Amino acid sequence: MFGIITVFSILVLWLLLSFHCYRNSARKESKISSADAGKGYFSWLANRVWLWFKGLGSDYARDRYRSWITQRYPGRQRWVFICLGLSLVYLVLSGFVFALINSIRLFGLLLLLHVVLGGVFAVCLCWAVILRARFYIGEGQASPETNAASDLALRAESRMGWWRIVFFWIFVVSGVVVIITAWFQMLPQFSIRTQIVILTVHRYAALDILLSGMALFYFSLVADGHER
Amino acid sequence: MKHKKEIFLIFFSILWVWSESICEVAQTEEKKQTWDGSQTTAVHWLQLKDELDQLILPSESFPLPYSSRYSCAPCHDYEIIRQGLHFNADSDSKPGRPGEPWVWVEPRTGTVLPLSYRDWPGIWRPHELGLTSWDFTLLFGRHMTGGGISEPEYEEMTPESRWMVSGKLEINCMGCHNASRKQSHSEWAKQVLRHNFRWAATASSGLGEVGGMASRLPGTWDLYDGPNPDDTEWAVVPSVRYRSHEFDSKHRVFFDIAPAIDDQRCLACHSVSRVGEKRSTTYEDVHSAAGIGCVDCHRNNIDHNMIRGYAGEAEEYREATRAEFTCQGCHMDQDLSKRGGKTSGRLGAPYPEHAGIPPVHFESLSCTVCHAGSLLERSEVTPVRTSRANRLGVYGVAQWFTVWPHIVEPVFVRDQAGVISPQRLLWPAFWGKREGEDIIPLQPSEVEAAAGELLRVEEAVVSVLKALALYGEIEGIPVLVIAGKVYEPNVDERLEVSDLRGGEKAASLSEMYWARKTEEGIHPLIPAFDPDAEEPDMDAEMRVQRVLEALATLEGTPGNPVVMYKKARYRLTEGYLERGEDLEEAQDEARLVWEKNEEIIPVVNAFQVRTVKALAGNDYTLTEEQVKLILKSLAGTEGVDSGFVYISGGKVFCLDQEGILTDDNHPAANPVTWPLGHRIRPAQQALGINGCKDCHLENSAFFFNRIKGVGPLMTEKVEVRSAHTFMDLGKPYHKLFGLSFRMRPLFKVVLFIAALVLGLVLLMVALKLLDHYTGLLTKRKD
Repeated sequence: MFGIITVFSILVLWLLLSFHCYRNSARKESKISSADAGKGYFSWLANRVWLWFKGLGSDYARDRYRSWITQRYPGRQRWVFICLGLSLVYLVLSGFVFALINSIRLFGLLLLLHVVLGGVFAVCLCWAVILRARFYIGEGQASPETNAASDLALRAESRMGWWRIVFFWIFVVSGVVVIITAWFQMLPQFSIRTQIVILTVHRYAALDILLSGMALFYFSLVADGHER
Repeated sequence: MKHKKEIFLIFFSILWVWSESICEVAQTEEKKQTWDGSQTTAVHWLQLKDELDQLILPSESFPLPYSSRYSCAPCHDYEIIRQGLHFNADSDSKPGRPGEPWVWVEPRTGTVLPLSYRDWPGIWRPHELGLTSWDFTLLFGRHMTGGGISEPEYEEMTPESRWMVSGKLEINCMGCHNASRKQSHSEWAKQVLRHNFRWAATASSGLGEVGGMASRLPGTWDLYDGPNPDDTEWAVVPSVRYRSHEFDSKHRVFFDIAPAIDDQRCLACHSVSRVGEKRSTTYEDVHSAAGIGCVDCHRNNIDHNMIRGYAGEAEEYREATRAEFTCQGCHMDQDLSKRGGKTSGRLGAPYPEHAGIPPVHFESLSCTVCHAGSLLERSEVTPVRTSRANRLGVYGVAQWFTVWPHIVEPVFVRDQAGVISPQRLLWPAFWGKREGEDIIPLQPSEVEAAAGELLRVEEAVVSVLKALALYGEIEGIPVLVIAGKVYEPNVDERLEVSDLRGGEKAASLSEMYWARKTEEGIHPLIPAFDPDAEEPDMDAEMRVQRVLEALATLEGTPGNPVVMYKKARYRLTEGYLERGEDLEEAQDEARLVWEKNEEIIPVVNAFQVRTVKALAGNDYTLTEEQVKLILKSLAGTEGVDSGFVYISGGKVFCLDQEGILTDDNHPAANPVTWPLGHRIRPAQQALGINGCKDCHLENSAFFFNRIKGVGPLMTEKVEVRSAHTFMDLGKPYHKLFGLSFRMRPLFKVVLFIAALVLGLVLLMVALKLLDHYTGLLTKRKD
């Protein structure tokens, strides 16, 4: 069941976000009216996917790194977000790949790494929230020390829409739930049945992180980049 | 066909009558096997029938022993019962989960061979080794229930067997069902040892007293020959003297059948105890302590197809009810919808919360891993003895139990279903011959025939000491002293070893000498005297004569006995002590030798001294030197390429091209394991009660205990395996995983702090949001 929900929800969200992207870009180019919103979407999508694959390479990666990381996150702070992103990617991959295969649980070194990177994720998320939370309650102000890159980031943050704030806080809440459920599973207080419930909550919260993370990524980096 | 109609009618009538009678018999049989629903047990006042289905009158001369086949037959179908678990090893198509094998132990040849008629991995089938049902019954009948292979059909009887003399070993119903304290398992074992198979059940139940030994009767004797009035001393025909006062006027006797079989009856064959454990400190199974008997879980109907109670049995037998008698069946009912998913199974057994144990444990481990068997010690697995393997529970003056096989527990093994369970383990040991890739065991008798005296070292010394004790008229006990150790024979005709005391040690002059043991200490067998003195020491010479006379009683010696002392050489000539020609070299201690054509052969040679020194007083029965010599002897003229090997301690020993003993690995030397399911420990004593570190540490006994090969061969070359290999788990990963538990407390703190900080942030945001709508904080600022 969890596997079906996971695949379905990821697919739906991805289609929705890509459709949003398509509509925005089409509108920008004034190609379509709102009545023709759906037309040409799939050919556009196929083309984008093809272009994305075609563009893959060191130049693309460097370009993405510059636009997504270095321009937005100043100095040492960027390592917090890099670690957060990378740990999240591993946790998602290791967690969901095994969760989707019913017969096999996460095991071995992958499990060990999952646990270790879970700790890294918790610390980085905590740090990231301390650094960024104020920008997601509508009162973000540049500090006197903020450098040029930071200014650019803050300008970008100031334009963020309502969706970005919502998804940011969903991401944080899910993160807290994931951390607490992981912690609970290490405590000797919970019976086997409670643990199974905790594990289920952990899984769905992780799915929530993935979905809100996708949306947040889209609204913060992809859509924002388009707007700019 | 003039009378076609009449013939048809007659044929039809016969067919009808025959089918009616068949149906009637079938209905009667069915009726006999069907439980009427009453929870009481029938009172068993029964007339006894013998194996010829004749009524037994206890007062008649030479009454036969009772036959359970015919005595129980009026109510119980013997043939149906014969299909039960305890009797169907050779005929059951479902081997089930591996259980404890029978272990063929022959200490002299160093044979420890696990056998079973059931198709269990790593276990030898008796017929593969040339063992007939007769051989098997003789070897293991002491702990068998009778029936099955011990009750062969006429055509299954091999020519060398003596079934006609001994009778068949029928199912010993009373062995399990008798509630009387008269039921004696020891008596059963003794009667089986005497080949009194048909008399064993009568003797063990206490219904009658059995005398005589079928083993001493000629192979041509049968029941119709009756007793032999000419021999009342040696080859006495077995006979029963029934306790006639227990019979009523209708020749019925009371069978004390219990409603539920007493645990004592089961434990006669299923006891397990830790080596060295005292009875007063024995751990009980928590279920037994709570009053739950063996048969409360191991149930059966009249077919005696007993529930073994392991997970997966229900699927195997396609009987859902069997699942109710597993651990989960009692403690966790499958229907979780009841009472909020916390309903227990049978008898409302305590529902296990298993707090803090991650769910993956319940997928990979059986319940018994944490709850059954000896608690895993930090350093070693626990050696145990079992009734059937070590011959426990047979009481008498003689010692019945054997130290071999060495069985240890718990070893955690992954089974075919991928589940890890605690198991008992033994290392097989046997002589064998390579046939292609396989090694086929040799029968101990073949090895003994080839090895001759090489295997009878201890016996050779014991026979000399016994002859000296019996005929030497020696004050004290004759002993052999080797390198500061005193060797004396015990009742089992083995040598017991003790240390020489300080003063005695200093007084000993040579490496090896014959002596006598008195309360004062150890003294030379022949006291110091001067053979060349003008006045001969009559006492000393008398002692020499007695020693020579004692040695002369031994059979199969290589020559005549001679005592050599200082320069003198004493021998017996026509019953008189004679001093022969002087020795070239003087002897400080009296030496006992055999003289054959001028050749001097020591009574105990250097090989025997080395062997006795190495083996006496410990559990080993072979030395590397013996194995080397026996392998040479087995190879004979074929040389080292003959393929003969000896397996012990997980290694295969064979001779290389230079005739040097080498060791190797082979699947035939792999240990044999079988799951254990009892001595259940409650949660408070379960593995893991102290937390994850009970198992998960970089040096944990659970994963990295070293299981060392043990065998009758005294050698350093044994297989050593780490516990994780039995579970098919990777060592580096579990070392690392175990190490991670050192960091786990810190990790928990980090997660807690992270969750706390994030929680506080979320709280602040929530408050902010609340303020946005209520304006409380803003207002205060204003």
